[in-house]
Amino acid sequence: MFKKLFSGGNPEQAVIEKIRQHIGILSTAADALREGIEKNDPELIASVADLEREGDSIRRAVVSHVFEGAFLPFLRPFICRFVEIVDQVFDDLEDAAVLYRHSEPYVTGEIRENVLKVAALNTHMCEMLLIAFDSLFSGGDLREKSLAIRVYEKRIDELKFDLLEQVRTVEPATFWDGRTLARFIDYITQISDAIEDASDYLQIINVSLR
Amino acid sequence: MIDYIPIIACVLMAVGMGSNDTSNAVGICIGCGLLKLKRAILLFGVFVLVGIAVQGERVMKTVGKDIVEVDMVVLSISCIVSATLIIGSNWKKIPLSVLQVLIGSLAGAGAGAGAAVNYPKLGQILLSWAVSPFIALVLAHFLYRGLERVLSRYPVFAIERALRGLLLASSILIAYNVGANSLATIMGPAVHAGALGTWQAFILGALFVFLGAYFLSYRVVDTIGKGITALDPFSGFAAQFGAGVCVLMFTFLGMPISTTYCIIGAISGVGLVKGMGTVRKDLLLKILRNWILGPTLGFGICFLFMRLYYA
Repeated sequence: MFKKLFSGGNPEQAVIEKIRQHIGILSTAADALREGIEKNDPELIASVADLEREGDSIRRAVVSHVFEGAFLPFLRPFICRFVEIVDQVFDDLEDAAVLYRHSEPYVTGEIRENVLKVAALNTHMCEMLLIAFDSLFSGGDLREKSLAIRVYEKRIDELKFDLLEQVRTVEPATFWDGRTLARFIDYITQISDAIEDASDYLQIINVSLR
Repeated sequence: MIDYIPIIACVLMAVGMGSNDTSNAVGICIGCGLLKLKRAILLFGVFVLVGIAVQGERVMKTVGKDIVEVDMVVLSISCIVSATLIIGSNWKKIPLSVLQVLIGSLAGAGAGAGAAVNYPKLGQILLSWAVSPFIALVLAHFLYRGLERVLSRYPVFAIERALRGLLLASSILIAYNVGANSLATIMGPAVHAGALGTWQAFILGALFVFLGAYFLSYRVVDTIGKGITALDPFSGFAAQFGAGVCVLMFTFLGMPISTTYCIIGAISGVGLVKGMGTVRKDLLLKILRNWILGPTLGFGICFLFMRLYYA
């Protein structure tokens, strides 16, 4: 009992490890999408959906550990909300990957360059989110990491406005092609918003017991 | 048979203490999921016994010997009146402190019997009741501020881990105080009137507190535990530990004081960190009313009974 109390206990360690794994897989998924677009590799693009399913099972495991009593009750809703937001990032990545397969012929030239920049920034943001999460128990300055994430997000916002201008010049063959391309741009650029939300939630967790 | 009446009354009060005071001690640990109910009650029972065995005799002497020389008649009347008043007040939903009613009753019965009541000692006890919530308030206030300053340097998961240990420590402290102070107050008169031996009182008292906790406390523990910890474990710890240290200080002085009132004072102390607006003054006034009502009723009724008995 005392070992459990003072060592942080197995459920807490398990939750922390699962969340690290969750964010790690998120980074892998974001990188798979970037690389898939860069190399025009359908297998890599398809792997995003597999990674999303893996992330989903980890999310359920985290919630299950929390339900069984990991962490003080005061902290539990924040932990659950955080993994839900990370799961939202997975969903956006998966949607972007699915829509890319249908939009690929239109993602060319400057649009392709900017999409690749956005995808690369998304990957960096995921990596930074993992570093920010680690600082919750290593004691690093979380504000620095959150600031870095906000800077990345701002950069993606600028690229989004450029992309919105550029897609207006595209002439899609059908209405559905145009709609799919527009939704792809929406999804790939809103991933950063969800990552920023997750980072903000880390700040809430950080101040919750102070 | 009449010799057993005060013992039965003491035992009933111990059961009541077990059912109500368990939440003060372990409610927060159960709410936090640190301990399961049965394990928490076992821990509570063990530390109640440790508390009364290690430090209970000081308070037992104050209540059983220093206020008034307790004999079997004084003991019987005061215990029966106290037990009836506590049950009646609970029925009427007016929370009265067991130890305040008992001490008022003992003094009233003693005065009614024409025994020499040690009024300076009684005055000291009244003073303890008046100042203890304020001392708990100050202790909890500075404990909260100090902890806030120290713990804010550490990462959040380290704070969470530290809080688990601290919450368990404060629960043990409160359980210890229930034995060393509250239970000692109840059993003190029985021991000094010769109705029970010292160790008999320790074991019987702790056993019935444990039984009260085991069979009757789960509803209160559930409500208090989840109610407090869902709010803020940091404040909960500061209030509980501040109150615990305060009761321990008075136990060293041999003064019987109410843990519940100290916790209320300590909660106000934590609330003061966020400003006066957070302190519920209406609740404090209600407590002050009951603080006066309990011992006065006990004193008055026992005084009248003893006068009638000796008339």
